[in-house]
Amino acid sequence: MLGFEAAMPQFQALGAQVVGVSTDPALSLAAWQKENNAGGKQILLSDFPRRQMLTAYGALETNEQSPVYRYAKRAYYIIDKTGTVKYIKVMDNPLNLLSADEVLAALKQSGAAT
Amino acid sequence: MKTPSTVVLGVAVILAATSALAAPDFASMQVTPYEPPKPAPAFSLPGLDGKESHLSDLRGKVVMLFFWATW
Repeated sequence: MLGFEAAMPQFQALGAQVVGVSTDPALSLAAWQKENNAGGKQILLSDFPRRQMLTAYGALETNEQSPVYRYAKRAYYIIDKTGTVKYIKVMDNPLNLLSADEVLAALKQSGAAT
Repeated sequence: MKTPSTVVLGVAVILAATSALAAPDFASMQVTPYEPPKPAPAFSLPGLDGKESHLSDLRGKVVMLFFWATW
């Protein structure tokens, strides 16, 4: 998240817009952004409380034993200029994350930025 | 005195170590091609300012979309 912010010039050089979606309420995200001075070059969106986007993108983590357990998987998607999903990476463990360098490499390799 | 095979082995080890330090290997990241490519599901979600953003607003741009939370 913060790593992406630091790497925004590289993303912009590739013509890429970074969009982060969270299940946290927008007010919580805004407080986090302010506390971390995360800037505003990324588009940060809140899928709270509906979680409709998580469902549509297959990134909703659920638990049959708890109806309130509905959290986001950590996942990355590369969507090309025509709106087509080209690459996807869903992390098994949300504590694992891809670095900005890794995502930039994937972006270049995908050909979506050309 | 080093034998030729020892020298060759040493060079191979150095080359392997150098390649390991190179840029991230795309294949090892297991970022998988989405086959067959499909249209990204449309979305309309509020941003931090409360203003709705739509995927269609970004048509013509490459989008690196990620899901996250303050885990």
